[in-house]
Amino acid sequence: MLLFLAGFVIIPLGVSIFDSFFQVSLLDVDSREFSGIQNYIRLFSDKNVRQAFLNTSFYVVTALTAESVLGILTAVVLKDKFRFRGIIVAILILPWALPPLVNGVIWKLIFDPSIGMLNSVLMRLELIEEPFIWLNNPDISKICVIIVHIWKMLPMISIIFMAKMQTIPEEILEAASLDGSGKFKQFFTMILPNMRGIFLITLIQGSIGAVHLFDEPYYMTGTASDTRSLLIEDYLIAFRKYDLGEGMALAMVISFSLLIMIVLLMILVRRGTKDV
Amino acid sequence: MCKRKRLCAVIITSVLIIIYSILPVGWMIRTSLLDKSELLKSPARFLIKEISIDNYKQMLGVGEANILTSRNFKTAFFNSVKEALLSTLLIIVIAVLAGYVFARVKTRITQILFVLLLVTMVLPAYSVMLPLYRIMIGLNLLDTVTGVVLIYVSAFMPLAIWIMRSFFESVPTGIEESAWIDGSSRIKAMLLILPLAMPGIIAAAIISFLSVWSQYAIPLVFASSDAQPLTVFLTTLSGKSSVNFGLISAGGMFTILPPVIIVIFLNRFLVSGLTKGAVK
Repeated sequence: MLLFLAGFVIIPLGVSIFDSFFQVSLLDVDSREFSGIQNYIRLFSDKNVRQAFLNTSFYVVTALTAESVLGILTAVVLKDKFRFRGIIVAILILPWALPPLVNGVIWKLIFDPSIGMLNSVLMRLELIEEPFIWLNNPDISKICVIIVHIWKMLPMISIIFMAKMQTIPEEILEAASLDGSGKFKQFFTMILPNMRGIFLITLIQGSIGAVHLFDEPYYMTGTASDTRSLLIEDYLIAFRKYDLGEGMALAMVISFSLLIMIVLLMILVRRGTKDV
Repeated sequence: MCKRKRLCAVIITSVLIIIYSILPVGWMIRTSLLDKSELLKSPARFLIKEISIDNYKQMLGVGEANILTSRNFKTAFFNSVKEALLSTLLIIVIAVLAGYVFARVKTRITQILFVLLLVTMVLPAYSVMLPLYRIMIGLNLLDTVTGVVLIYVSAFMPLAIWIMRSFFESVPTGIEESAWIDGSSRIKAMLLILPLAMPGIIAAAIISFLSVWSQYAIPLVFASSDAQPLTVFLTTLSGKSSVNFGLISAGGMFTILPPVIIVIFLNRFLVSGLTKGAVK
């Protein structure tokens, strides 16, 4: 196992950091030229990179918000036993199990202007007269992409929340309701404070998922700059512009931003726990 | 009154979940069953009058079909199956051994190693993707099944080890201790409790399988033609100018078949695996 880790994670990571300071072309990996922090400077002055950075930030913020709010709501309803709960949970988990690329295919069929489900429904209901363009529309294409991503992630987040809520002893809640506290009060005073640790985990998972967004926008809108995520940008730099050095520099920037974000989340959640 | 309200909430949520999960997939099924003339009608009809399995026939190469498409499809399908099964097998062997050690041997070294393992989980695969590319060129493993399997094993092993560790921790140590007293070795003692950890093994296996099956970006770089899996094949179906949605949908159906089967029959293990590591 250690061998695997060393061979496929740690050594490449070292090479990555090292190479990000060089000028390396994918076509000829052996010739290299030391370029210092040139790669990094070029990255930060690149308009496309900045656009991709804004896009990914948008994805992270919307995904985390939607996943947390909707995930908690779903979990509250699903946490107590009812007759078909097993089946409902199984149905819920389906989107998570599907390959993200196929999710892209599925939702492209829904958003398609002429044969898509969305436009067909809206036209049948006579809400719109002309087919509406969803994906090639810079104003809303980002929203379409993130909906597909949330569609996949929400089931997992809900199920983790649900499992955590089930570990809160029933007696405590019963005692609280005997004391006359309503459902809402119970939720805010007993359930939510117990969820902090799990919030951290779902937030971390959610941000990893959103930063790693690649398949869905790549399939749905190609490399259009209004939906292009950081990873797509990185792929383009390294494998289309054949500029490995700059690609690695960007990969480093992404990794470290993600790590910093996770550490920040940890500190935030920790501090929140201390206040209570 | 309270009971009633709760029942309503449950029913509404259930209906929403069914729509949420099934409707989008259902639309793809519908599209895959249309023939070409029906497909282009706009606005699209919801219920189709005539079901045509032409798209599936083309995929499988039955009847008059584009031989190239169906041949590529079959290769891609078997590539996907091979890659997913092989990686899962390797991951499970490693995860059972390592998970057992991490659960039972608690020294400072094992704890540091475990934290290291979790850190690699947080690091995006992309930070190592480009150097891996060079390693793969060096080892001559670019565009081979072996190459991508090795990458998958290193990428999804940490999660599997984590899951196995928490399952082993929930197995009481009594059985092993009595086995040691009877003079059996550590490995034998571990084999003894394997049946008890079986739910964990199944959970880790299906989560690994699904992760590998879903990959697109990694094979796009490392296995773009000969070792091409289904996901990459799907994107080759849409040409530059025209997109045959029917054919892509049929291909998509084959791609979601294994995950759907797993969700239908093994969802219990999936749920326990997802929550085991997170909820303690």
